Amino acid sequence: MWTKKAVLVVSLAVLSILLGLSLRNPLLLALSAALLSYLTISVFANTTARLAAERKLSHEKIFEDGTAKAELLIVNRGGKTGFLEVRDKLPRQVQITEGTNYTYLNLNPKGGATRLRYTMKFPLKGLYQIGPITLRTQDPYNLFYRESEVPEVSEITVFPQVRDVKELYIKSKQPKIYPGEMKVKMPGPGTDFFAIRDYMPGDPFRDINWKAYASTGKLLVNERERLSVSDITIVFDSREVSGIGMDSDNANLYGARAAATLANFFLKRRDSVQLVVYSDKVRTVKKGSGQKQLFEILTALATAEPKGDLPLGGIAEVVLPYMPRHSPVIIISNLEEDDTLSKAVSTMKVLEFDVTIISPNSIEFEIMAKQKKGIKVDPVAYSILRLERDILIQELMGYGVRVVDWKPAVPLTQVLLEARTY
Amino acid sequence: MAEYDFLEEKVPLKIGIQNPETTMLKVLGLLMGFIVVGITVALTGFETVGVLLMIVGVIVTFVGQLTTPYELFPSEKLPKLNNLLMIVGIGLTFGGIVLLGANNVELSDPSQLSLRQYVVLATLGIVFVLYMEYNHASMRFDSVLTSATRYSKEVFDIKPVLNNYFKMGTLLLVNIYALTILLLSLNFIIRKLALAVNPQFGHSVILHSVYVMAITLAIVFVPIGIFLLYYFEHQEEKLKREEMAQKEKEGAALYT
Repeated sequence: MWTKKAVLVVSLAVLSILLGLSLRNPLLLALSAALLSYLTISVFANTTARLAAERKLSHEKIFEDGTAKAELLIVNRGGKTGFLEVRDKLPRQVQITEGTNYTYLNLNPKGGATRLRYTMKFPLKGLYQIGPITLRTQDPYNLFYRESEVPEVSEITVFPQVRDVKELYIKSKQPKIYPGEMKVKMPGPGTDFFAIRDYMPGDPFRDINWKAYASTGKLLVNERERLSVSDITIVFDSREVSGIGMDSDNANLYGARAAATLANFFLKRRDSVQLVVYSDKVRTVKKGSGQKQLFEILTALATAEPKGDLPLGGIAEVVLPYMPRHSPVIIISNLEEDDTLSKAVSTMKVLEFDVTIISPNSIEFEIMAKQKKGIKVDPVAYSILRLERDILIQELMGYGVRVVDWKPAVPLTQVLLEARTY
Repeated sequence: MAEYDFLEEKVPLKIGIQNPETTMLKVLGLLMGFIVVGITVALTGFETVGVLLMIVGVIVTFVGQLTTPYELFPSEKLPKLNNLLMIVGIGLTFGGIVLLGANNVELSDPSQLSLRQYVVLATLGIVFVLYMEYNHASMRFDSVLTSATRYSKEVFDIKPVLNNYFKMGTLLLVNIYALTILLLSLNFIIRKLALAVNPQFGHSVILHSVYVMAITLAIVFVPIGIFLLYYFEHQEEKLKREEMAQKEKEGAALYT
């Protein structure tokens, strides 16, 4: 390929010839002779790199803000490389904290090798492709170049951040028979006080509330709140509209962090968690528990890119029949551009699901993005949008659904504390 | 869709030596510029406007070396400030050569030029090429340094690259110089041969020496151009085949 410089040199050479002929001036013809010789000799000095490469990564799965080390070995399998530019292609969100992914060198023929070592920081969740390795060889004068790629590609999955949450007030009305750590607002085996009732034959003596007996003269017993495991469904909206905002601040990213934190909390509590991600298609991580389930959920959240526009109504029709009645359903959605939302939520309530909506506020994300880019924000337009959103939230709350309007400035842990279902 | 806030790093306008490592190239570029002025004046004689134009051109080119690749216009298709200054500077220098050459009566009759003068002409051509080359190389290696350090956290050592450039560049320069002298001498040889073969034809050749020079360039470079077009096309295909074969062979781990 010709560089811009080569094109300029040719143009200057042609101009010299034409001017030289019109002015009958050998000075200009001498210039054009030198310029054309410069081009011709450089063509033959251009080389082709035949390289092989291998990349080693310290980690293939990390959390947001985590780092991974890469070591790239490049071996020359051809002749002289001349002026060789090597760049290990990285996604633009990745930051290099140490070392370099770029070099400019001349590798020795047949076996000449070099190593690039660098540390990458991944600030945002996602599935990242490292590589391929792009090569560019040039002649010494940079008049011609050749580009090629070494198809050495590695992948790194970056899980969304998981915050440590001490308590969440999301509970099921339909407990499973297995003992767990979740209070289920029903009398049963547990440790915390729930209610007082009349003594019935067979009740253990240690449950009798002696103070109540002293004041009322009736035998009354303490009931404890039942601790049990529960099935929890997290519905994560990853439609294209969830990407409104910036790379580092949008509903998709915030929502994924909330979903990951919730899943981690419930799974630690030995609950059974199911994840439904809807974007251009529906991806379901079937209910399960334990570390393996958490890993599957985190992987699904990491790879959930903002795309598609499937409505919640359609998802509800497909998923609801397989969900246990009365169990908590947590919908994480920015509530944008979905006409089926109200109907889907009311259907869930009719079927007695305990619905909580955590809604990252996309309007605020959009305003933040515009302000950061210096774009003027029309206050009237946004006040109308906010009003529309408030009306929708009020409508959803009218069905008995708890809705948390999540503004970007509010920390995740505080938002989750607000998401109590009673 | 998500709007991206990464990689929005515009290069700020900064005046001064960009990278001390490439100072030598900058100085060489300036030196070659003044040598071009000197040789041209020596060949053609002094003419105020032409000489001024050349000197301004050399200075503008040098000023281009002292600015960052700042985007003067909001379009990536237009050259950056340093490149623009270099192009304008070289253009002015070239304009000065044209003016000085056009004002010299002796030069308009190449039949009177001696072989020594042809060598001086070739030298002027080569020095002009070097003037362009060193100025461009300085910017090129500045951008390599910027590229190497922009997203990485390692000090990039450009010295081996520069050593390689000077080594290989000098080797190529000898060939370029030899080819230029050969091309210009061909005119001289053709003139002598034509006179020996047929005096009438020889006189015609002498009378039209400038056209003979142009035809010589065409005779040499047009076949080379056609050959290179074919060669490149053929080599591209060959490379693709080799790449495919290499991909099939890949598999053995490189790490031991």
